[in-house]
Amino acid sequence: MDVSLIPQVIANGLMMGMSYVLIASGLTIVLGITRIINFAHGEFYMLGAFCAYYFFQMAGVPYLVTILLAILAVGVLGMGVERVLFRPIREFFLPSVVVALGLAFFLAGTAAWLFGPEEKVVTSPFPGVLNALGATFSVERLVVILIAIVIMGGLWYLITRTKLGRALRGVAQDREAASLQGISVNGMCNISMGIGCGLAGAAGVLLGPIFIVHPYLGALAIFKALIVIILGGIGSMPGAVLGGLLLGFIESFGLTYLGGVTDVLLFAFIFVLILFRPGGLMGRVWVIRH
Amino acid sequence: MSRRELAKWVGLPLLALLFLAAPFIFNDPYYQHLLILICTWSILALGFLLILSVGQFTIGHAGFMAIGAYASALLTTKVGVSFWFALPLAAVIAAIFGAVMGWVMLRARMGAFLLLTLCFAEVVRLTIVYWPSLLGGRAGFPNIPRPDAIFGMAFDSKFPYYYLILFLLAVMVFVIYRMDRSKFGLTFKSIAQNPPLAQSVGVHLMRYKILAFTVACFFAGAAGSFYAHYLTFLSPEYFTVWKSLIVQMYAIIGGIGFMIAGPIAGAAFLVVLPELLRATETFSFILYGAVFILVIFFIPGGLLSLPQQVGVWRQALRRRAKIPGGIRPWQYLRPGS
Repeated sequence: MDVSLIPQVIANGLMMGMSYVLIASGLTIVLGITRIINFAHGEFYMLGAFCAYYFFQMAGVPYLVTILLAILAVGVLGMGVERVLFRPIREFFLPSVVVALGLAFFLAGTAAWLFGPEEKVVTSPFPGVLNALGATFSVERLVVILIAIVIMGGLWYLITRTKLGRALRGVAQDREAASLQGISVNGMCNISMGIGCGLAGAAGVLLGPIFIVHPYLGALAIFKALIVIILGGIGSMPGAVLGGLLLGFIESFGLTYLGGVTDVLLFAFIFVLILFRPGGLMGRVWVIRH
Repeated sequence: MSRRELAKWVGLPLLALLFLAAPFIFNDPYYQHLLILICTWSILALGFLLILSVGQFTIGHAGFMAIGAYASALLTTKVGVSFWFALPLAAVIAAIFGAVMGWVMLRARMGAFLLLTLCFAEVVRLTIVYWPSLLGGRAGFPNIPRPDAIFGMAFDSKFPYYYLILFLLAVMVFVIYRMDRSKFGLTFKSIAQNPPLAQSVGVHLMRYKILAFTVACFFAGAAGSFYAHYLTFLSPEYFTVWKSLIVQMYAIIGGIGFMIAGPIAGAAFLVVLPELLRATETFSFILYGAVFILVIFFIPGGLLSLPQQVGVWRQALRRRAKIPGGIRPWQYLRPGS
């Protein structure tokens, strides 16, 4: 075990972890409030990445404006999807899986058709590297971590400190009771989908320049996001943060010191975790009951 | 003769004849390949529906198919067993895995069970990926022998393969039919609809759930073994969670209210549709997505409930009423059960 690698491994873990947090937090909000496993969440992330390509790379829109644009565009699309596709079948498990999966296929296929299936490269908005503690940090990744922290902070404020957040938590806890208090369940589901997809869009813009942008990006993203929310606790926001960071560090340490076996061990661990703690590590904190 | 009797005595034999004659009607290796795929995926989709009929939703069924496929590949190449012993053995191995994993997993609620099957399927797939010395790893498992000739049939064209998989499918259909028409069928339905009530009248929930799960895994293993020797090559990429999910869509699109015909019809429809429209890969993604959504919204009972659904629409039109939701066999399935 090479100790001198540790700062670098921690940096990579933090970076991967924060990107998982960004993707998974949107998924967990939607799952917590609408109780639909949004298999199309990865595709919203992919659309965000294409926003980065078209707005930032092609049209030359400033990076921070691109993030806001992507949150808006993908969020509004998500709200539309919720209204038209998810609302009628929200109460039923089986059709919601089918519709979400169908939506994922449809969006991935449409993106491949419209944007072309080839991989696209987004140039880094913040080139350069930083050397400290014997590790190399790329400035871009540090900025991503910072922006991710800002976004998660904003989300934390929204959910715990505002009236809207209280309404969202209410719907997540008990729909009937919430609607008795005059909270619109339909409205909250719509808003949660907007927030969730907006987060996916932001994640896409942030991670697009780091990874490669292509239309079939979503499948891997949703898979990782699912693992994160299982680890952390389904529907729990701190769970998504914990799960995301944990997954980032496990992958970073595991791939450096153990190799591919990490993945097998990870899934075996999650298997045991679900058996004995179906709520995940942080189940039932904040948002939902599973 | 009533319409029901007509269907039973004329329709069914005709359908069976169609299945038997299919490779002669579509006498082209590519079409025959599609027919073989339809039968293979039908077996998996039937297994999925059997598990769904006890109220559990698996998204890792391809994992058990992978166990069957690799078990059979190992038995024939490393141990030197003939394919005709390897196939039942592989099915039994998959069934044993199914019984043990079922005993572990089936006590979870629907949502957790879904995630457990996902994890199990990934553990299986990743074990294959990271064990290249035995299982071929990411590069795949090459040179799996073709089945030996049997009853004078050499496996050198698609015909014997088709009849073999059709035979497996027929066995599975027979088993499921007998189960569905016996006490088991009713018990399964009661478990899916109201587990506490079923338990209160003396149904041993776990026993029946494990039974259904094991039967489904047995046939998934047999289909996997067939698949291995049909392709003569295996890759862990054939058994991803997405593959399981698509196979399960076959069953749902066909109609989960139709225990046997639904998955087969759904598999046939969804395998043939992109070919009929000569869709590219991109376009078939869009097509599948659109079909999934449209079927759930407009024919929620699945394709086979279309005649009933048309009846519902006509009645609504006649009364100038709002078009109702129609037949929704899934409304009894709640994630909490």
